[in-house]
Amino acid sequence: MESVHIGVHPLWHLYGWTFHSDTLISAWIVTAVLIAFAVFVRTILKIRPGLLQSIVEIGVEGLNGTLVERMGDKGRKYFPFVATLFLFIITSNWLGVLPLELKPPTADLNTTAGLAVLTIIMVQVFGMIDKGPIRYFKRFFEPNPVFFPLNVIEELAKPLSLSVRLFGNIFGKETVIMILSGLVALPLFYPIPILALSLLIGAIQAYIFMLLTVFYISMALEGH
Amino acid sequence: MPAVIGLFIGTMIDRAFRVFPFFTVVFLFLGILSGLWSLYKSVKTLI
Repeated sequence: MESVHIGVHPLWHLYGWTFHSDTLISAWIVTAVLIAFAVFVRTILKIRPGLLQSIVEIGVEGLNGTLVERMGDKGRKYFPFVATLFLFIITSNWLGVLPLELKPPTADLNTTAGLAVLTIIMVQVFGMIDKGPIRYFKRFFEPNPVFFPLNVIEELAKPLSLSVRLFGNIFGKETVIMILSGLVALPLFYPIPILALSLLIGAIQAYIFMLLTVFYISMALEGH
Repeated sequence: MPAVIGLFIGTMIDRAFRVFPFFTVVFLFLGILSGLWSLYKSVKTLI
């Protein structure tokens, strides 16, 4: 039986740094696919939209609607950041469904932790830009200065829960698919239901990540 | 999750100053309180 390697990454060593080469390459592929798709859609834009343009417009309107519903008109400012996160995560998650030797970058805790830390830093930056640094940091001292450590620990727990949630779901899905295709007699058919489910899981996890980002941004903007 | 973060910070400080278990206990306690505090806040927004 072919041995199954789970959570093992081929490594690159460069100037004393270590890289997970499979994660890095698939993240580059995701980025390239997204850029190529965006450039392609840009060239086919018309006043009377075709099928592809309609689909893209529905997606953009949906994401925009989520932001406006939560934060009012000022939510539109945060659309580029939130939409980039959503598109990157959903494309990464769906990369694992293709019959290629590519692992989704989100099945690596380093990618999801990077995304989550970036998200929380950007939330602080958005809050400071919107309210001014001093008024923003007042929120850590509410309702009472005694609560300062509690609020800081709560803020630090956000990236942890964001990253581990995404990583756990995608990594678990990858592991189940790998075991099913390695163990059973007909490796072609057994993983198919799981693959169908993994499309759903990928979309839901990307949506949850995006929704929580929107939620955190809106919490940073409003006073408690 | 906040409790885990508190435990992590506590063990880091303890390892730096070699005063285990003082900071671990303090920060674990703070982490648990922080979790309860965020639970309280989310319940308050619901009702």
